[in-house]
Amino acid sequence: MTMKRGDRIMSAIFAAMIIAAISLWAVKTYVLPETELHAEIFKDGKMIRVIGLKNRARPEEFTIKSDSGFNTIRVEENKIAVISADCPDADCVHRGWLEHAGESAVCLPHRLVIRVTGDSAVDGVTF
Amino acid sequence: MHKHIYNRAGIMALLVHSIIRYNTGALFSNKLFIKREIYLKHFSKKISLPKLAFIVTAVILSASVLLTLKSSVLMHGMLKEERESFRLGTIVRLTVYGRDKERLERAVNASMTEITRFEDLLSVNIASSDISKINSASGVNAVPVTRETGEVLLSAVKWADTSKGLFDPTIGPVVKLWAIGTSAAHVPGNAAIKDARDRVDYRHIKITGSSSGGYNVLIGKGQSVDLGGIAKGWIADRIAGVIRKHGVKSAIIDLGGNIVVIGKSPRGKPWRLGLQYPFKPRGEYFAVIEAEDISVVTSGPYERFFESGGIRYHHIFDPATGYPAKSDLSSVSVIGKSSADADALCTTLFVMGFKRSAEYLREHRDIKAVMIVTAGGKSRVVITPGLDGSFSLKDGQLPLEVLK
Amino acid sequence: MKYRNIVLTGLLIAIALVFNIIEGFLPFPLPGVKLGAANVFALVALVIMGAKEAFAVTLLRVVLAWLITGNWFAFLCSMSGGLLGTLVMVILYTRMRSDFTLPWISVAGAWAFNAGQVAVAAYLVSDARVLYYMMPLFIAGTFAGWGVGLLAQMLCVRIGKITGPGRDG
Repeated sequence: MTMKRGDRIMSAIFAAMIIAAISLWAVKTYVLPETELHAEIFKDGKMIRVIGLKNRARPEEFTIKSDSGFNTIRVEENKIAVISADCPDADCVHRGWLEHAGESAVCLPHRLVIRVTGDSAVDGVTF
Repeated sequence: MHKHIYNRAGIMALLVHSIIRYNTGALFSNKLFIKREIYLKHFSKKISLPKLAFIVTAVILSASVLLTLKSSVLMHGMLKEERESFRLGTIVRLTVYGRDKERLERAVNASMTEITRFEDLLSVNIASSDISKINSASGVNAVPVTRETGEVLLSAVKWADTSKGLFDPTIGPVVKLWAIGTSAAHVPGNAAIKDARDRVDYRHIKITGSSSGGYNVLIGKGQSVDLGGIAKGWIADRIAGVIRKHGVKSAIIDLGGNIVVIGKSPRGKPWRLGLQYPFKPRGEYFAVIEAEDISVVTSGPYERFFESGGIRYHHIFDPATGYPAKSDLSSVSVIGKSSADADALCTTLFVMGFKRSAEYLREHRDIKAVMIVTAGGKSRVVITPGLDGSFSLKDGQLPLEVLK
Repeated sequence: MKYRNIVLTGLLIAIALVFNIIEGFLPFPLPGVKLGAANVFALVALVIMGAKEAFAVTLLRVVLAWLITGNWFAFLCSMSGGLLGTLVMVILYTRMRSDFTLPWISVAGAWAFNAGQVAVAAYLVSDARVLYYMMPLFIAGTFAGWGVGLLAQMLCVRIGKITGPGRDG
């Protein structure tokens, strides 16, 4: 089918659209940083493990030992929690599930911190 | 009519071409006229409207793509150095951004060292600290302390004065008595409370300069200094100085919720700081403040408390009563350049309660604050007018009021 | 003559309505924002009858769709998009027919339709993220518009033969 002059202009604009869309997608996928949720575990102030919370085939449980006891952590799809610990107050266990970026659980006696990061809407929370 | 369109296209092509190939000086030279003849002849046959449409659309779309990705482009290549530690009885987190890894590491290391140094000087829990020495020698003799300790004390006394005693650094006896935040927390008997609060009076602090540049401090018999209400803010200010001295332009200093931000976020936008939702899990916020080169400090009865007989006792004491302050505020946040001032001020405002705080804020219109007031079971958020624009409420169910 | 127009218009509205509702079942991140293939019937009305009938098809189609589905968000988007799209197609067809073929007029209508929809959606939702969906929407809409536009062209040529000296496609 032959195109008329107006058609040609429009298809040129359309071609530009396609190119822009492809470059936008390419940049989005390959240049922008990851924004998936993951949990960072700090022991004695040092990050000892980073766990991805997305695409979890099955739940995972592991125990972190300290010189004064232990903490057992469970990871499920998009959430993480300390499910048992032998510290006096068990605040970390009472904290429950961490499900959103920025949430954290702390075990002071064992100097353990679990923090969930991701595309957080805020850079810090003042309390 | 066709020639008309082609001429226009030719001129546009000329402009684009000259910008790409030559500097704009060429546009004004005589060369222009010769070139234009050639361009028109050359392009009038070649440049077609479709190609032009393509170029224009491609340019417009690419520009908008780049604009939307601008902050990500800024972020690309930015390094982050983060350090988290247990200091000052809480979690301390420093996050610095920049492009020079060594410089970032030095800034963070220096900062952590300074935090330790200040903790060793100011903590009541460390027996060898300046403060502990002052407390041990209460009523006996003046203790020589470093210049910095003296400065914090002077600051604290100034705030005690300004707040007419609602903020009092000699609150030590009351804090020790109740022991809130430790396993020994309990409700003391009336006699013990009266005894403790009678010993609270900042006017008995005597600070004199010593020849070595430091200070000599004497407090009254039985008194005890506790800088919990101002120390974190003061230390945060010093750390901000250290980080800036290392040339870092973008950072967040978080000392147990006492926040100071330097510059903007690495994406080129102001930092976004959440205000903790009282009594909800840490990390949940009810509002966001956009901040740049400023400090945000919050006080609330939810930070440290214990329950006994169905009543909640929190850690912000009223020096006049010796009891946790009975306040209708469940959260006070102060935003200002000086973190020490913001720290002392938010404690003071909390103890004041809403009515007196509102008066104080009306008298001092340069102070920016956010308060949650609870009356008759209902809560509402009150902000000072200076915050409009940088404050956004995230909980639609909390009514918002701007203080007049 | 008049009866024929009314009947034809009604027929086109009905088919456009069906199209509209089927479009609604397409998976889309934004509820109420449609692909815009149903606009082609306004184009057919335009070619066979005229601008008045074209607008009638669009307006009545949008209103009836709203009455049936009760979705006022979709109504606002389709109304602004539909009017804009029909307007663009009318202008292109009546003034610049020599420069455009029917499929591309349909594409122009689809672009205007999408632009109108997205603008209203962005305003109502007050979220700039709507712009993210603009690109795939426009591109998909282009293909859809061109396809139905080609069908419309074939249809008009056929009808032209059936109902007497019709206008060319």
